[in-house]
Amino acid sequence: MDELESLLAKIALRDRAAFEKLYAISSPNLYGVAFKMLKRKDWAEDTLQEAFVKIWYNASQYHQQKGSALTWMMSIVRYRAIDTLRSNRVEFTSDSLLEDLVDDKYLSVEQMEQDLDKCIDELKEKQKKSILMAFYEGYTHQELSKKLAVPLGTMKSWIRRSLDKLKRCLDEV
Amino acid sequence: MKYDSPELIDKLAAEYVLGTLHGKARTRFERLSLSNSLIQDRILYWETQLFPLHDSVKPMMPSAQVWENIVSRISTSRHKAESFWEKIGTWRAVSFAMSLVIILTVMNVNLLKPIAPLTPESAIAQYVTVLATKDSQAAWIVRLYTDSGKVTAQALKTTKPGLQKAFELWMLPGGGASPQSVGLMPSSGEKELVLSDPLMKVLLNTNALAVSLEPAGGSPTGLPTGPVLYTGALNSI
Repeated sequence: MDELESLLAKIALRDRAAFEKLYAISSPNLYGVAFKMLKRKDWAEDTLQEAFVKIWYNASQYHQQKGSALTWMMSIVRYRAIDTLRSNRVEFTSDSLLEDLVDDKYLSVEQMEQDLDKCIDELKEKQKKSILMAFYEGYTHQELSKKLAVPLGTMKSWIRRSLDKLKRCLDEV
Repeated sequence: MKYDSPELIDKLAAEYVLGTLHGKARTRFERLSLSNSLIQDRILYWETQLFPLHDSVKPMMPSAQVWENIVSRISTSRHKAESFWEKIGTWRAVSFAMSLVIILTVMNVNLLKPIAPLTPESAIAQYVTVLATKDSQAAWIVRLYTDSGKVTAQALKTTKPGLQKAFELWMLPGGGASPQSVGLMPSSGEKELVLSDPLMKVLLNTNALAVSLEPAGGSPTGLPTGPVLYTGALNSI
């Protein structure tokens, strides 16, 4: 059992000290992820706050069958951030942001785990970019098709085929 | 859309985790996942595969206000009474039952027939607690005898954990130490448990007990894995 898991077990028993420690250990990573997706301090902080309130009350529902403790907490942050994006994204379609996004920063994912890294690298460049933009920025098919200037149907099949390919590759390694 | 094809479920789970599943389809899939273990399984598969991508995201410090807001949210809501560490609200509800037990125990009046003949001195439990749900439904009286390390758990009513499940008793040491398992609780009647020497030491630093729902035979990990259903503050007599 890792440290986060044992902290969650204590939090399930309403241990405030354990909760504070969990926050200290994990909030910088979780906040970084929320901020990368949302790009606004107020939204990212709100997401982090809601996520930790949920972690406090739902810690007893976490068990190891639900994956690692970090995956469980990350999923709470991630899906909440996606909800926030979807209800606010209209403000987010400026061209400057578009230029900012369609650069090559998505092509270097140095610290990624090796297997995943290898499998992502096997994707064609534009498909790889679509997957990474969707993952890190929370874009929908529609938004991605606009940003990468391809028809919606093409984008949908890029994403679907990329995920299929990733799965085959990840299951092999 | 039908959700009975494992292949379709896998594709939807992939796009759910990636984030490209959106609108009503996303909401519906999320709702279905609550009661569908195949969906949960596929979501977990994709989370485990894709979340390492987060490792490359730069950690950032949120402002101190966020933690303050969280603390205030978990302290002021109706859940406040659940907190061990703010006992006042919680324990008022069970204090009547507890006082009665304490008085009877101090007076050496046994609420049940003793398991073995006890000398007058050792018949007095040094610690006693009533384990109750958060809405004050009392389920067990637990007595701890520090001279012998004996623990008795007396069911106040029949409380069944359900098929393939068990109720497990935990000591909750202060100072952020891990909960320590004491043993499994009886569904009815009374059960005697014995504290090992290391547990006797933990007891000195323990101010509350809790009962969690675990797989039959008890927690496989040595820490509570299921929901905590009953709690009780430890009172020395």
